[in-house]
Amino acid sequence: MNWRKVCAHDLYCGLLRPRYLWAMLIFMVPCIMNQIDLNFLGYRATWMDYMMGCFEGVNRVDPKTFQFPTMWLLIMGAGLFMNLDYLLGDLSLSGQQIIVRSGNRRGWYFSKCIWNLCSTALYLLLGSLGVLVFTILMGGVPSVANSPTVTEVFFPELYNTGFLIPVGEGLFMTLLLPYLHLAALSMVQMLLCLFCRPVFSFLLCMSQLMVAVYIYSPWVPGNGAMVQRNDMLNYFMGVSAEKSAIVAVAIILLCVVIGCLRFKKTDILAAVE
Amino acid sequence: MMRMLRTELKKALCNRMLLLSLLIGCILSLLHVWQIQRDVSPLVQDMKNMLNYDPNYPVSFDGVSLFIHWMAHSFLELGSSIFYFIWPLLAAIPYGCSYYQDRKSGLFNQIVSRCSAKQYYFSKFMAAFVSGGIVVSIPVLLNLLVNALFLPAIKPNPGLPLYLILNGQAFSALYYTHPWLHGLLWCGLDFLWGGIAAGLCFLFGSRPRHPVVILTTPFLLMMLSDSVIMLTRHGLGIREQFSPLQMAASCAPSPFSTVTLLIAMGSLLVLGISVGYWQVVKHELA
Repeated sequence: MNWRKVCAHDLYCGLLRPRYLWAMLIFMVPCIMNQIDLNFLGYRATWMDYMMGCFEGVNRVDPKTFQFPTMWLLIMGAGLFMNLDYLLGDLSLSGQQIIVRSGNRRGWYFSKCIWNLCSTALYLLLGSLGVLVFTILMGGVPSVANSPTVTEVFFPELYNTGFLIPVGEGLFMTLLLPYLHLAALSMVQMLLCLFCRPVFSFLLCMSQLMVAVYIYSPWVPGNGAMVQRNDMLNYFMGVSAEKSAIVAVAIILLCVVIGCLRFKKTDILAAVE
Repeated sequence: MMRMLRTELKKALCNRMLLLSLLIGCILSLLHVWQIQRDVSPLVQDMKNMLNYDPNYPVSFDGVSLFIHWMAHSFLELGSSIFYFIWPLLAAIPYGCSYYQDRKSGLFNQIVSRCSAKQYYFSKFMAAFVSGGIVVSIPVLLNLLVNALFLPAIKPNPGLPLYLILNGQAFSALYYTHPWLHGLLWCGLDFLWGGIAAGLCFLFGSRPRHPVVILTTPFLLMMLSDSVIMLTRHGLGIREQFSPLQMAASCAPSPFSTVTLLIAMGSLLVLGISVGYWQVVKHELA
């Protein structure tokens, strides 16, 4: 059996799950919070503003101004949870049969990696769609450009944010970078499932998100997924967007390679929980 | 009932997963100690040097007091922040999915044919409660005791602007009068929080297809409630914190009162017991 067939099966069975619809609701929670501020000030926000609010994160950890980045952790944590149980779940159902019949363990794991990347993309796309619906319902502008006044309201801690962000940079900051970092952590989570129980891999990845909140560096996965720390918005103290993107891509590639090597020697009967 | 409780407690406490969760909690607790030592030790040494040089030099050790820097009071160190973020997961790991495993393995049927399902449920709940409580409270107690080896236990002075526990905050009077008692009380409260989180694993009974969903239920529930509570506080302009996820630490970024703390604890405990009872005894047996 060709691995492409396995991959097609994974994409068909793994992506058509009702749980992804939760993404739309989850992304609306920070939007509602931002809308409360906007209603008070009487401003109209764009889709890009709401997306920036969703991945706002936190600036430096300062005892006077520190706010626990609940919304960012919710969005990232929910994305990780969506992909948590698929690999071992599939292994406990038809996966063992597929591996035996295809005789291609690496292909099976590789197809799971592709599924993982697609699943993260679907989560973010549906989330963005939820934000779009919210924008339209609230009478906002469904535009990919930000509104400088609203950006100033959303990021009061940053210096001089009232400018129009180029569309490409905005999309890179609010869609591509969060995608890369979420996908990287999701791949690490899937890889860790081969070494320990899924709950521990989830625990480690959630802890990593917390580490990212406290360690301000482009080399720490998670930093790039916070808009407040992006050097495209936070000119003077932000982390390099390019460096953090490279780190995320490197982690994804490393996870694919290590996972394929590890899965070849994994006892698939014992791996099922 | 007592025999079953004893058996369940033995199963819950002589458990590899309990040791593993405890180990993770203790590592985070010691990480916090290391960070505090790294940041505070040079200050203490400087003060000691000044006193050696001039015994009359006006040096105050208030800023390096144990009761400012131990885990439950400081949310700005990585170790304590990770611990107070993942504690519902740690609490659920040791015995959270034991009911699920009993159902899937068929052991449940064997047990309820020999005793009542009610007895089984309460024994199970108590065992999960105790194991969850131990996993959350021991690292906090360890942190208090290990930090006490290095930091001076200076009684907090309410006249100084050093303390994050303000008037009206949960057990603030006890903090300023009997800080050691306050520390031990907080370890006890963390035991209760851990137990309550472990009890929330019964919410979905044995319905989920994978045990990981059951184990992550308390954490996800608390994350979700934290977000909704943040939204509510923001919308209504409420300053007081009432998110269970953040109330496990005595010094959350936003203050909370004793009444709020007890109401949050009580409501989650009642939710865990009642829905779990309905899932285990009333619903799934039918």
